[in-house]
Amino acid sequence: MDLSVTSREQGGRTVVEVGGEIDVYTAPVLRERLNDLVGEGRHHLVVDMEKVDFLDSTGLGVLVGGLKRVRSHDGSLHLVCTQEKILKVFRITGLTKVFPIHSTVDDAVAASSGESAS
Amino acid sequence: MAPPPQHPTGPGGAPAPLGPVVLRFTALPEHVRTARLVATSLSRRAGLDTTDVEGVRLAVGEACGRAVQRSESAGTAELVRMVLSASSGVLVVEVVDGAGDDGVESEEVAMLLMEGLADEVSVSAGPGGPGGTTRLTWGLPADTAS
Repeated sequence: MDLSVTSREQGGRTVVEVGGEIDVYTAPVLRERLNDLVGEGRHHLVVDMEKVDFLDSTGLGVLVGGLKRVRSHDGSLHLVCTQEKILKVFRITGLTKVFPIHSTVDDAVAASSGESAS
Repeated sequence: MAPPPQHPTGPGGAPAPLGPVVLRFTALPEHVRTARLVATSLSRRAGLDTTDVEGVRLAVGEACGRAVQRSESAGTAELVRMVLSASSGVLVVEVVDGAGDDGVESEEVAMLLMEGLADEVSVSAGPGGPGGTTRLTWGLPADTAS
């Protein structure tokens, strides 16, 4: 398996660190992990993409699915990504308008906390 | 360590044609990564820059993923075929599946990505019927080596 997914709590948010390649083969693993987290009641997710080396349309589909799922529980999904090649995938598909994308996990956690405090 | 030559040149300094390189694989998601590695390697050899090599990696992954999904939905046992070649300043990657009309079309997102990353994208008929061939092309940098 060329994908790693780990999660931890930070500032009342669940930070999901993803590493490796998210593609047509590995995307189901990520989908399952996100579903499990939401099932456990973790509705505010920060997905850290900094160690992701590859992201394809199936990976995007999983992220969009995760976003829909947390939103149905009044939750949120923020992304952390600074890698140009990954950002390009979001830009080409117009998903930069759908996902809040941050440069650091701290920024994402702060933005996520600010949202739900209001 | 000196990097390997990136612009193989033929007689007279003109870029030498590369390939064709052909890969055939069972229509399963786990083989798409192998196809990406082959395409990445060849595009690097053909002289594409890092950004374009990444574009090839993703677009070819999308084309192969599309072929695998179409094959699965059509229930065909036909292998997916990828043919790559670089000549006359153009890198061409063709991905052919055996699914015909029964191949369910993949999401629009895959098409958006291929169109956003390749210089040209076309979908035409394959051996099983309509839609079975995805052709991606990239212009190669003009060879300015001696």
